[in-house]
Amino acid sequence: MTAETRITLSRKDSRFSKSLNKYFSNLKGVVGFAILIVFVIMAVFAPLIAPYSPVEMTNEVLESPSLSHLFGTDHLGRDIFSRIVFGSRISLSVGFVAAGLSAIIGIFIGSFSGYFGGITDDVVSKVIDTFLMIPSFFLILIIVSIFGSNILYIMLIIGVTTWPTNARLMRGQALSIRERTFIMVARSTGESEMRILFGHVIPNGVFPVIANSALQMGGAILTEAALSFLGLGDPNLTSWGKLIFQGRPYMTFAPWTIVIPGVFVVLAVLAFSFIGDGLQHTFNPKTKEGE
Amino acid sequence: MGLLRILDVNINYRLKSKVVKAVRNFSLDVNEGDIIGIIGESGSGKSTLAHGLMRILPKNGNMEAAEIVLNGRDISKISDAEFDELRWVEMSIVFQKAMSVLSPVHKIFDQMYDTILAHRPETRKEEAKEKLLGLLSVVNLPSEILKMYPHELSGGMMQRIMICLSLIFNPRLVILDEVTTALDVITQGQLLDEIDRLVKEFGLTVMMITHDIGVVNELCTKIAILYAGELLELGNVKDVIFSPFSPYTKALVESHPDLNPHGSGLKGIPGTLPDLVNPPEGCVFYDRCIYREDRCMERKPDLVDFGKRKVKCLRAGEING
Repeated sequence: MTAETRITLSRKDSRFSKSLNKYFSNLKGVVGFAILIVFVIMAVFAPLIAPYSPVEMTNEVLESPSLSHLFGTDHLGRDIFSRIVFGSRISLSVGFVAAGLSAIIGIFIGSFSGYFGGITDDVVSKVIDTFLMIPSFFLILIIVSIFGSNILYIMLIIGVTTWPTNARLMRGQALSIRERTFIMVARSTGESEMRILFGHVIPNGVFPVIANSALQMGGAILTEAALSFLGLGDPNLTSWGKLIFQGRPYMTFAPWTIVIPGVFVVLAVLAFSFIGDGLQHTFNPKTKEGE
Repeated sequence: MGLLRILDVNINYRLKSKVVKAVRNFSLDVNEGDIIGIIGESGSGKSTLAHGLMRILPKNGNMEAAEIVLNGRDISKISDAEFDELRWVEMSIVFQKAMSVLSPVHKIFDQMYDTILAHRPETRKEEAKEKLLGLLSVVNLPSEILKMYPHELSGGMMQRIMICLSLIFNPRLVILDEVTTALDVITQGQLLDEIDRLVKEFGLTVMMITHDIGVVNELCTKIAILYAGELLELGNVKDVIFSPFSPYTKALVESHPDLNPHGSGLKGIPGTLPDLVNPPEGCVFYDRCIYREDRCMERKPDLVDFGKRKVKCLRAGEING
């Protein structure tokens, strides 16, 4: 046997492009992503897309959908299509900010608790359980009625009340990852605990939390819509939920005032839920492309 | 002056209500340039010993030692922070499970660079790259590997990368913890050749932990036989393998196809390891020994120095032949 060994490499697809292929091989993922893209374009280019100003009042009150007013007009003669387009900005940002906040809090607390274990873990787990026990919608109602219904508060509160599920997922991941050999290797090569936590434990365990966050974005949009429908939404901003609230008195003879915003809320929630499913499919090593 | 001197090491694992005494009263001197093979069956405490020396025992593991002198400095009593500084710089370890030693989400280079930064925080990326490329060429790996992820490589390549990683700071002592166990025989052979070359090139001192006595015969200068957490025989490889003084060594050699002096008829060693929660009062190998006498059960034999070797058996020397 010779000491010299020639080694040839066959470069496989990178992990990222492989994941991308896997994600787009799933129909749900593709549909969800497509809907989301449409909504994001709508939100970013709202002034270019909307044919009318969302706040301009006209004499054409409660007109049914037609070519000049695609989705009809509301009780003050405002074009509902334009209001939907501008409303997407509010609804989507509620989804992103609230779920993002929830993910960040969840990842930090969960990974810390799972990785360091011991007493920290016992205490944090109990805190997570306590938070899961509180009916969050009623907590949100109470907080909104005390501090007022600024959209910022609403996003923060939704984020702060939904982190426990993320923390639980992340904790479970950290518990299993900390026993893996590469953590022992990292520790013995001299990497600090914090570096291991942020460099190895979180990047390796974050995938289920990302998938869950997509679901939570839909949930946050729904929660904000529900608050608005109850009249507790931000009075200065028009979200989709707010449109439903405003159309409520006229729904018997002008159903488009509530049906159309309702359909958009449902589509948004559906899109995020599909994306969540698609991501779960992508990150689950047991599924293969095309399944 | 020896490079490493281990005196009276005891390692315990706490279980719920029991204490497993995994390594007991282990002493060993390692001289510069030694390639010492530590042999033992599963559960003999060989990996525990390696992990104990590197202070990476699991949380329920506890090591006590009279002294562990590395490069003239007693490292058995120093704080964890001080130990962190010398670990990997003065001694490093290559682990058994090659495929799972690196994090799957980072590129090889980033992880190796992290190790360099942990000890030499001022190192620039280009310097690190240059150093790593040099090391990679030593183990016959192409440079593209640095840009790849662990899952794209084979077990043999990963083990070579781990060997590179262990040599980053030119430590004098490298512990190889069953490095060839997870590999197929051909890769095993290539890797052993490379290790042999590296040892000469870098002037390494190696502690090779394995259960393959053939590997030790090929590569090592000295051999230490570990059984149930105790050192039974220690000496030069050829002496120990070809004329074992301890009945356990003899049985071990006879159960290896290439080394069996009688040519044919492989023998196994009947029985299992003794209970390590309550280790036997007398000789640990008593239950399975075919040369046992009543006195073996009554008193634990001492490790007797026979000049060129040390043996822990009351009948040492009598059984040979």
